Amino acid sequence: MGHAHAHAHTEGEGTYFLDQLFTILACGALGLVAILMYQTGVLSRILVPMFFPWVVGGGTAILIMACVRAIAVWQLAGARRAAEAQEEAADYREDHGHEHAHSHSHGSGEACGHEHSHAAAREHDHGHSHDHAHSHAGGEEEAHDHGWAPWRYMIIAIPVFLFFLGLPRAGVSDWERTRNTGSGLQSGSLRKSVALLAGGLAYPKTQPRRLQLRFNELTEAAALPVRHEAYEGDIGVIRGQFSRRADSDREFSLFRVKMTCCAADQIFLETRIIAPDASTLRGIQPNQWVQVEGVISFQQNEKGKWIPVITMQSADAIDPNAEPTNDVNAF
Amino acid sequence: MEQDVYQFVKAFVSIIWEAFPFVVLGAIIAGILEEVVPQQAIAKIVPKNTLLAVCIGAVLGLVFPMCECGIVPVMRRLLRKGLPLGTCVAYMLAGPIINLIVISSTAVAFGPHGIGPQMVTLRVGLGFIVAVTTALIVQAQYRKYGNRLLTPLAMPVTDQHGALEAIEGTPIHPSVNRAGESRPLFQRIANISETALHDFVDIMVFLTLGACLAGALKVWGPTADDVQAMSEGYPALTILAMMLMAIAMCLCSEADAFVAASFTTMAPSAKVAFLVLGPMFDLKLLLMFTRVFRRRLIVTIVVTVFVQVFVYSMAVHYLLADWLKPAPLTGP
Repeated sequence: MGHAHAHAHTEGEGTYFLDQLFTILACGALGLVAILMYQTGVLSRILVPMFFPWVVGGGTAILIMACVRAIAVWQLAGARRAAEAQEEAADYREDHGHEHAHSHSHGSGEACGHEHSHAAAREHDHGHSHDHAHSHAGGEEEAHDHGWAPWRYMIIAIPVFLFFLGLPRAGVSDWERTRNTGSGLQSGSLRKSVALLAGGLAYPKTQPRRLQLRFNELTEAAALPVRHEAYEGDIGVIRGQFSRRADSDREFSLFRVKMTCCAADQIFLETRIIAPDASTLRGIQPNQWVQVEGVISFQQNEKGKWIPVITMQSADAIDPNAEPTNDVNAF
Repeated sequence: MEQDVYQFVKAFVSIIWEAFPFVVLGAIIAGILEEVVPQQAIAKIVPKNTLLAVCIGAVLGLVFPMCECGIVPVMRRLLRKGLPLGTCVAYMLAGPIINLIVISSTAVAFGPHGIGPQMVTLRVGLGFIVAVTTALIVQAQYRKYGNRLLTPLAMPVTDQHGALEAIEGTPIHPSVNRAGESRPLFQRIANISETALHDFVDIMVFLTLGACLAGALKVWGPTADDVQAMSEGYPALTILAMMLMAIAMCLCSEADAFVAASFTTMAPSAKVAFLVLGPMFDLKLLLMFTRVFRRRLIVTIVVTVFVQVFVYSMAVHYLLADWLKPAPLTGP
């Protein structure tokens, strides 16, 4: 079962130290960038604040580890150089042209636990060479890679390069906004027909309440048809970011981006708003924070998803100077 | 196209930096395990009964909560220290689900939908069953193939008689059984840092590649709403689609419940499939598994988990549909 292999290390002694050097540099750079991302505010574009201490702590820890490793490698290199100097001095005293070898054995089935390269063997220009032999008793296939793999460092350097390129950018892009709020409302529902007969999209209530709503409160109610009646016909006041619709000049979306941990899990919450006329929306920019007041109803969009609809009752029911809020996040 | 690329970068980078601190934590724990824990210690603690050992592995997350990214380097070192493969696999699969943080986030996410306790029960219960069953199959396979199922980096250090033994090496070599030896403090910290940095680089490479794939699918793949619209009326198709979404999205197990809860018109059984499969297997985890397991074992784990999640989710759909209906709630 066992096999042995012996190899002269023609790749040179620098390979091991090169690998260690790149490990230290890559880890140190990632640690440093983690801290810089927090300091420059880039982290807030991709993560919720709950994660900031974790990222800074992780960055600091890996930076400390890289420093410790750098000192250890420095000491090792110094010791190695001293040993080599002694060895060469001894070699000169002996007859040139001999060969010497060293070996170490790995236990049965055992592996080194990491890829590494050996710096021990090398060829001298004065006629002797070192051979370095491993014997893997009962071993598996090649237990470790000799030499180093620069592609690994190129891959983990990508986040570092992206940070220095100023990526990712802040804010909600047109692409995201359009993709997540672009679906039209279904027509022909019974509830909508009744509401239209009553004078608008909203289903009227004889004694409506005025509700100051959190954004996700309304979208969660929309998800459960059994809860619709509890809100329909009441006057809702809601704050969100503005998104104009291409298919209508008096219908627009209010949206909020809810991020639980990171940008990859972010979801768009949407409320559709019906304005009395197109002039109401003049001058409002995409992503601008606005507060809207109107009668609450619920409609399905083209994909079958229930979304809240607020029908404004007058042109001054929209406040284009609303303060941004952060009331949709879970934690 | 430019906007697509920006969106891709945002998703890609966010997955990396979200996982980063947990990979660091996992790598440091791996370094400490390698340096401090004696080779024989873990093997002595674990019960001899396979089922009991596997069940303990499945609930270990309650005591040592780790996310799916951080768990891989820790598990690799635990394997090297002699923890049975079945116990490790059970911890790896169930740990990201059966821990208090994920249980709480699931309850919070589905609470407003009126099915919080049901979703928590199903997620934890099915997560446990899937993890234990898979681990038992893996353990049976290990008896047949032994260490050939593992990469050299994850193989337990044993002699020809199966007993754990120390091996010789240089003072900085991380495969050396250093635990129990008297060494200067700096030497110990240096040893921990070597193992930690090695494992960190090893895992980060594959995390980065996985995040890249997940970012691309998030931008250029179908949205959850598309999946929902396409598979409506076909529960098997919906469940399969949500399982594929879980594999592609590579979400953290703390966050995935909120994403699942946002699929408002989707059947709860499909959400259960999404919540149970995602923490056990996704694109980034698949690439990270290659640093621990050989292809045969990866295929076993993936197929076993995938089939079980599908079958159990179908059973939930047909047997527990009434239980998963939200109770009528009062208004504000």
